[in-house]
Amino acid sequence: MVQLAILTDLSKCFGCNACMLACKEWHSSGCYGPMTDLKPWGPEPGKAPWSVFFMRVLQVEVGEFPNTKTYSIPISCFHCRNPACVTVCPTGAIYKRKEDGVVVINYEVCIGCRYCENACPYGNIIFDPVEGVSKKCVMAIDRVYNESLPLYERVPPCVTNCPAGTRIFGDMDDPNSIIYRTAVRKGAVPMGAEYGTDPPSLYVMPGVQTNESTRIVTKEEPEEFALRTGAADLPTLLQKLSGVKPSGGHCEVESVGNSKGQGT
Amino acid sequence: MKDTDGRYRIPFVAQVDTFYGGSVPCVDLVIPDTTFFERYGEHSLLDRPNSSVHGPSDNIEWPILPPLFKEVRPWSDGEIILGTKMGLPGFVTDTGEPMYPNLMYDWLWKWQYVPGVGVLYMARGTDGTSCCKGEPNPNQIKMYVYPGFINAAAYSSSETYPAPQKVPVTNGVYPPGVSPGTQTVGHAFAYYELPLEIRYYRHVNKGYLEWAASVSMMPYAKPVIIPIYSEIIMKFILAAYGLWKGKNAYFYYMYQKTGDSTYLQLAEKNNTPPSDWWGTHVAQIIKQFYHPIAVWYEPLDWIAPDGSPPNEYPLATLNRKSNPWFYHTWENHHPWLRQILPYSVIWMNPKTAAQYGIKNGDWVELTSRGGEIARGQVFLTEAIAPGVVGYWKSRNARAGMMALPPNAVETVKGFMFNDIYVYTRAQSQGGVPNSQYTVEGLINAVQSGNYPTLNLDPFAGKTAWGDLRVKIVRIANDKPYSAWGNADLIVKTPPKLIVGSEAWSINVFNYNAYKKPEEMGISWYEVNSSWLQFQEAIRHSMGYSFSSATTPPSDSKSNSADPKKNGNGQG
Repeated sequence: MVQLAILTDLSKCFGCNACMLACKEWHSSGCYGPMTDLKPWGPEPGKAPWSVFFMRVLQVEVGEFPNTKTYSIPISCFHCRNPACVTVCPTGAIYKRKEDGVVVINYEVCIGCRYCENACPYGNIIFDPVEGVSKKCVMAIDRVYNESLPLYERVPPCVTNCPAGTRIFGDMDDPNSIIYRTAVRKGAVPMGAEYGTDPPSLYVMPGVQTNESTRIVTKEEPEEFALRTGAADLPTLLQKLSGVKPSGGHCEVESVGNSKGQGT
Repeated sequence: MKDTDGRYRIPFVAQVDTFYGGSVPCVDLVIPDTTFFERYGEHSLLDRPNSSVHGPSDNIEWPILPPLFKEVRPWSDGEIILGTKMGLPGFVTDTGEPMYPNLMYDWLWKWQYVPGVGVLYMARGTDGTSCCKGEPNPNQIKMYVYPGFINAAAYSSSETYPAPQKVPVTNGVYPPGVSPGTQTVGHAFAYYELPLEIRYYRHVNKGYLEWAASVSMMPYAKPVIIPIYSEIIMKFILAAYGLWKGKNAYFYYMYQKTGDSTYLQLAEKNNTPPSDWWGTHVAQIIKQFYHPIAVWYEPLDWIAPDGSPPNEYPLATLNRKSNPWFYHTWENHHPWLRQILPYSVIWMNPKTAAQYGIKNGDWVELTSRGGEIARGQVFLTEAIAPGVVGYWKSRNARAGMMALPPNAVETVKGFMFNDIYVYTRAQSQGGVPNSQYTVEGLINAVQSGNYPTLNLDPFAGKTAWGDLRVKIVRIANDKPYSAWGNADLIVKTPPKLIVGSEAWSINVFNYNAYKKPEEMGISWYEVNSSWLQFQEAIRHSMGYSFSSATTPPSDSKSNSADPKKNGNGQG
């Protein structure tokens, strides 16, 4: 089995929100969009501007001054092995894909009852009032399975765009994968294990010692960049997933911007 | 210009701006500029370059898009056109020929600060093999933008987007046996990784200093030592006591420039602070606070009894000019960033807040010694010291600025520290009485010859934002309509709002990848270019018509009803 996941190293994240904006930028033009913006230039009286984001960065504070520490926690759908959102969906619009374990919402089936939004213990589902459907992180599978992209870029934009190398993408069910080995080596843990949803996307806690180089690796060095982001595992991974296509969202609609990568 | 009421006024203010920036409502003429994507520009080592720890680096901007608005020229080009038309020296040759016929493109590689040193430091010399100093290179810009225009999709692959070029370095003085190595030029930037032998401990690295002097990075090869005892500060102290025998720098410069001995006399006569209100207080501040060896002293405003003494104004202020997403207010035009941080709040330690009965999210009024009040919303955090209020200045904005409507969150909820900052010192330190900190009071002080000293760091001259202390009062928890408080007009920008609520009804083009272009009201041709999408959005919402070069072609291809036919390869 394959379970795609993202490992987030909280000892590296400094809260710049680049992941959040890169995610929104990618999905704005893909089949899991649109990423609706409401009145972005000004509010209705008493209302702030509002916008669909698939991920966000939480700011957490620990301790009392002067022994205060602040942490930034990038959070997007964990693609739980036992997803609460799927259990409550009355229409089957939201489902966990057998092939890669990614939880997606079919916008053509979703009736906008917002049960999933309430069921998710992490607040990882957002309701788009314009389309009237729930939306969420889809691990950017329209990118992973897009053969027109260079191999080392076929990982979610939140992973490729992190300047600190905080996030690693890969198959959490493969004990030989970069993501799995890094998670074991650094003692990664799930967020809110007590909810029983068994998230495969884990966090490395702040302060975990690493002996890694802190040198910034950019796309100018594709091989090293692929190692850092987990994309180096893609040849093995995509062999297992050969022929798999993105589903859910509007991907199955025969129009522009579908699973074939058009319009992106 | 002296007005009829005896006051001096700047008769005409012009401004250049790419967007509806903060100063636009306050000026007489706004000259539009293009964006970075539509013009040539530089981040030169001569002024705030990008940086690399391994050696000098710089970069350029170059037009990868044609101008979006057909009437707009890059202002850098505009300045050169103006200079050329006016025949100004530096823009035309002795025979009247334009020096920069290709405008900014030419200026970037042609202009020289001193012979051999120009805007861009790499790929100098006629063949591009000189680093930092060398003849202007006509191919320099081409080398900088290597590999030049490529399809957007090709940027993703190292095969279609080759790495910057390595160009050998053939100039400069290096220690014996040290190879100069190569300079890296391309992708619109360039850097020179110094050879290992001259890369470290550069302030006392003889090889580095001699190399730097040989390429005019430094005037001479001399170790750079930070003095513990500052002779320069001691000169200021002597001048304040009237004991310095030097000359006034401005008048001496004018004497050197003109040879007029009147300037020399003035330079000798004005080597101490003047004896008027302003000068005597400046001398007093120098005597009291200048030390040739660094010492710590309390901020001047805290010491002055009529300033902001801690027993009267209990809270110190802490400000950050930028926050993680906004440098000043430059990013206010980006709607996604605007939502990450909608407005500026006041950060307080929970212990301090509890002393004033303030809870998280409460509204407060802050008062300064200038008598002005600003309102803001308190957010509690342990990451700030007790006894301090902190805030991010870069999220401050007024209605009318940056096309913000009067009910924008920035206006209605945002905290504006500029409202209560006092720009002049306390009267005992050469300012005006606190009760006179008004437009009238300040003008009266100036007109009566008592030019007030300004509330700046006494040595650096930097605005002493953090020296001001404030009083805090919790106000009713229902949100005030305006966070403006009673701020005096002297710091309140502009009273005339030229943007109404129509600003937030501007249509937003929400791209929807699953909808057919016709459903979104655009043609397939436009779907394949986000730039054209933007044009279309502007065309619909503002009725602006673009030049024909950017109008979708009317041939059969663009009007094809079958998107699959043209689906790929245009992105």
